[in-house]
Amino acid sequence: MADDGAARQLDKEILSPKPGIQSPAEGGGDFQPRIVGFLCNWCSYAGADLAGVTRLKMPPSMVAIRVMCSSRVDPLFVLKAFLAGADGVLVAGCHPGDCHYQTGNYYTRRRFALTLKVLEELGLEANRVRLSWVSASEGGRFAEVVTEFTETIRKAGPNPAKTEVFL
Amino acid sequence: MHNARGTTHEAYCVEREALSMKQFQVPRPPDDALRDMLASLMDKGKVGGVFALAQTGENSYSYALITDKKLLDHIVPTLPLMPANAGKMVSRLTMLEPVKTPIAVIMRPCELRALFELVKLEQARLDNLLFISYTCGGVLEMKTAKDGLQLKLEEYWKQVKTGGVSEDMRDSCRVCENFVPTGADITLTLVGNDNGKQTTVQVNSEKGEEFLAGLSYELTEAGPELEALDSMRKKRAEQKPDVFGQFAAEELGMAGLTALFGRCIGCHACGRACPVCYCSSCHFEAAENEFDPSTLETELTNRGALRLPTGTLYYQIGRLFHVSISCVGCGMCSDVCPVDIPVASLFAKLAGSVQGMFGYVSGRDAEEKIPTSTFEMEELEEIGA
Amino acid sequence: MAERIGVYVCKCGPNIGDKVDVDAIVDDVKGIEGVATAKSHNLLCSADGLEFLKSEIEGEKLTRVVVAACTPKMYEQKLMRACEEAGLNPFLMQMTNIREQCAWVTPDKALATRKARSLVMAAINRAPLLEPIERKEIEVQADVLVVGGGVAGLEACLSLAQKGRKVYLVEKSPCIGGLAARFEEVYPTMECAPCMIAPELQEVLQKENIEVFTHSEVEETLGSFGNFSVKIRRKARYVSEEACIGCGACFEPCPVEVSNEYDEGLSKRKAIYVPFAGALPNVPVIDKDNCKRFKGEECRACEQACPFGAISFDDKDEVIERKVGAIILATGATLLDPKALPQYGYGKLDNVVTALQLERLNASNGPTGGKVLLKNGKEPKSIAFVFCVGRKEKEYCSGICCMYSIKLAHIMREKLPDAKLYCFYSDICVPKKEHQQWYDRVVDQGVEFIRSNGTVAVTADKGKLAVKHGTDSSGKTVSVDMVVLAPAVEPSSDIEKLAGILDTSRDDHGFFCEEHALMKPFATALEGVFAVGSCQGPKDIGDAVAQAGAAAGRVLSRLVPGEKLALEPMVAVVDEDLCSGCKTCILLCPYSAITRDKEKGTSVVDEALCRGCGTCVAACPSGAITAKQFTREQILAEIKGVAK
Ligand code: SF4
Ligand code: SF4
Ligand code: SF4
Ligand code: FES
Repeated sequence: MADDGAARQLDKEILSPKPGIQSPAEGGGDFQPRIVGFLCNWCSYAGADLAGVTRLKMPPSMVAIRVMCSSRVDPLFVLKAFLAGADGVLVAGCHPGDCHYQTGNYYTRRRFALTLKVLEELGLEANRVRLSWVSASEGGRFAEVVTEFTETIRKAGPNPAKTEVFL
Repeated sequence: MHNARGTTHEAYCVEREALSMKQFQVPRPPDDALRDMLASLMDKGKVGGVFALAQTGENSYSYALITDKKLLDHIVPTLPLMPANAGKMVSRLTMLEPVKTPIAVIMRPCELRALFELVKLEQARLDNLLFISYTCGGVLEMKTAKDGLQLKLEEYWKQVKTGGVSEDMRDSCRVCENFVPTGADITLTLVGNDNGKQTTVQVNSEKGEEFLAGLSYELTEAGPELEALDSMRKKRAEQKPDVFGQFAAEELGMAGLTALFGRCIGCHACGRACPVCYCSSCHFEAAENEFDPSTLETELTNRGALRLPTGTLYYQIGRLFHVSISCVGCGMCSDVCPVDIPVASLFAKLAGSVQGMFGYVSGRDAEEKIPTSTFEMEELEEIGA
Repeated sequence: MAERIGVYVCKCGPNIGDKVDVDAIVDDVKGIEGVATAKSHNLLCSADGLEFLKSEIEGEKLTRVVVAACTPKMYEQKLMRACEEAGLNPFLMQMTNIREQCAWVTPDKALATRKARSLVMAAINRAPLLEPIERKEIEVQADVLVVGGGVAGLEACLSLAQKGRKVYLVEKSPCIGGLAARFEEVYPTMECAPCMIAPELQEVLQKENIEVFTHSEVEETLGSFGNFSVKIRRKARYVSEEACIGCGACFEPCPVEVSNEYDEGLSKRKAIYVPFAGALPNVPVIDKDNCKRFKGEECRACEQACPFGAISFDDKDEVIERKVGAIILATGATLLDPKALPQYGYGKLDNVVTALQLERLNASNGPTGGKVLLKNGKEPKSIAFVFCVGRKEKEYCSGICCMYSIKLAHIMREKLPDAKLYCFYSDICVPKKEHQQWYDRVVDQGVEFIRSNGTVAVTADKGKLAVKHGTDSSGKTVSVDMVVLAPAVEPSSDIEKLAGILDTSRDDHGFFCEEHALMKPFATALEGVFAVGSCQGPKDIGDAVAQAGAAAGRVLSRLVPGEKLALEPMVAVVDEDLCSGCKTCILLCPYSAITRDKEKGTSVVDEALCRGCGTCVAACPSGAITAKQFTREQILAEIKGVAK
């Protein structure tokens, strides 16, 4: 499978970015959180775009994965990202009542209540997983959520799952 | 929001209501009383068969559906063993179609709750089933069947009579507070009863009454033996620190979990035995969960070593995501675990918290919706900031 | 076959070019296996850029394309078209946003470059897993079912029929015209309602391509947008619509008298009747529940009286099946029964009437021929109008009661010039351009407005009615001859059944739930099912008609005879081998797009209804549902791209 090769190659790349590309600022022990962000297409992704259009500043920690609705986010995605070592996982969708698909995010909310409860009870730093509501007009809020979440995670330090050997 | 205690209390009230004031006594031990009763139900043509725990050989026990009256000798419906969750077994029988002729089904409260949960998930049909259950003193680990069963039984029944907790019981039973069946048509009140001599039978539904009509018994107006039930509930609550203590959040964490599941051999027996793990094909066994070469390499570079089989925590936590909302705390998962991981205690503990969040008790009522399949518009404001 | 991925990083002039080291990224990804080529471009979305992309796809024989540029919300469609033109399935292109979500929010160039690189890596990781998606189209039925023959339903019928569509109008009562046909005058024009709607009624009844089923109900609907199959139960009328000429000779001899619901119980009718004089179609109906014959007695009075042999007691219910592409619900509303609010004395005290009853008293086709009379046959000398009856209980303002009460006060002022008129209100709600002046006018005409804030209580008072208002201590009492209540508008009684048949949802108040209160107030969440007029929420005639027109317009533009319907390409698909049949997805789908295949015991997604939200996909524990273009594998590949 060719894509395996490709993926392998790039995994290496991600792990050890070429010196030319690495920021001097992050050299040394400086911890740069890596956050996976699932953004619903209609509100939060648009909100993230708006943050850009208005040229707001935010830490470069979050990389977005676009989904049509927050309800597409299987809690197992969160777990996968978490166990793979993501320092934080953000799921963002339309405010309750505003989901482009009527009721999608109400289910998201219940699923995340469950997900968070399980993580919490397992002592797994549930604060690394966050669900936020960001509308298409809330560029500022989006930047705030990312900034604030990044701060929380910076304080929490790197995800221990990254280095836990026998998972 | 977190309201586990409130929920338990609520469940308790529901259970009390589930017990009726219509009861009668039979001067025979429960298994004998049931055999007589079922034989005469079969004679009268009211039921075409009986589903119950049966002794199938020396030291061999399994659930069985019996349609030949002569074979009723084999049933041991109250013997404290659970070779499989009967709810799952009945789901197998009725998955495609409901049974055609009426069948009397004898199962424990947690099995009944598992069945109701499965009905919500379209994995079972209740038509034509007459449910007989009992206030449950718990079950012993399945391996007890191999030897020493008789010895342990004596102690077991003594505890049931006085509303105590026997040491030999499954951990999940030691802490189970849902030992009064809800949704049964007929309930034997074993707890608090001198089960060597007599059996108290409660009629809980019109259906139960219909089936019993024509059998010779005399209803009394006496209520159930609540004192022993309360004592049992109290004793079981007292067991919680012992059973659940090791799973306090601060004891777990990444390190605690890898230690807890460090013995896991990845057989997935826990999921297979679990009544509410109902998928016809388990997602965690899908090819996409295998490590592809690139992930493998990354993992190795990252961690310097890789545990095999892989994905143990992913499976266990993932299964918690899937079943904690429906887990009935039956203890099957622990019982089948070849390496003695106390899976059920962990699952039952989390099930309590997760279900408590929604004021839900899995399987309490076959009509109630599973919380993740529904929602309230105004709720959970603290989730999602 | 090895994929050939082309990676194109757009500089977007200086927008990305100045903030991200585009060339470094390009160099960096070049070596990755599977990446056939990686290039930067100054402006990919320009005509030039699109041509470049096309020639690359063709020249490099690319099987996948990764474009790192602006947000997909800008030019994804354009780029997809370019791929298509170059012979590549457009869903084999993966876009990633390094402008809005990277270059523009990250001041430090090195950090921005690093983030952009992660995004590009994630996209490259995902690309091989993309799957081609064929855009599907289905044949559609352009005919339409309209349920409810009030003003909204009529408007929908006529708009559609005008454009040559076949329309089936199903009305549960024996006549069409709805509530409006029973009003004398309507606001704000104060014109005669029956005269206003008569031409519409005639047209609907006569138009060849409108088939009217009165005294009928929708019994079943199957299928989905574009292809519904509906069953209509035409209830036995016992009077042939063909043979009857509407002479009315049958009424007189009928020995049965019951209260006439179409006159709000103010008059009597026979067991064979037309709802009111002038009701259309002008064909009586036998009320089976009250007719002596159907109670086993030997009566044939009407049959004998009919000169045309139009009556047949053997008439049977008929179930008629029709195929339609869309359904417009216009079942209207009714008024809350004020008996539920005992403080108003309705149902117990004489001369406490509802506004609808006063409408009938005032109507020339009503029980008194248009005379407003008290129970004792005298004209009232004073009338109290009570607004907002049930508003508090219902928790919504019906929005039309103020205005119709003001209208009635105005009519009463003209009709009974000497009567004392009071209006007890909580808030006056007269928001439209002509309404305020009516309020001012009746105030000028001497109608007294008293703010009672919902404290009104009516009791009997020596042959008159005492209207007490205000809180206990400061409570005042006004004595009147007649009290007219303006009860809250609520959905008509059959709405629940209909919602069940269609599987469409209702709001907290019981009205049909609109897809979006502002953008799609006339559509339900079910594609192809519209809810217009008061069944969607209280409305006056003008608003109801406007909504009906909007829905009809939607149908006309979306369902064109001979044209196919393009389906959402990114839908959910169930793998029946993996599906456990647990129905979880069915419960969750906001669009009722999933049904159960009874034979196989598994779920099936109707591609015509699915909108690709993925709610079901994430809920399925067996992983049996796939969201096209958002598959698990694709998303996991993306996670891998960024999480490490
Ligand atoms: S998880 Fe374990 S305790 Fe819970 S229902 Fe399944 S088998 Fe029983
Ligand atoms: S039964 Fe035990 S060993 Fe097997 S998968 Fe479950 S926990 Fe692991
Ligand atoms: S993707 Fe959304 S709309 Fe489509 S079937 Fe699933 S839940 Fe329904
Ligand atoms: S579309 Fe944004 S949460 Fe559903």
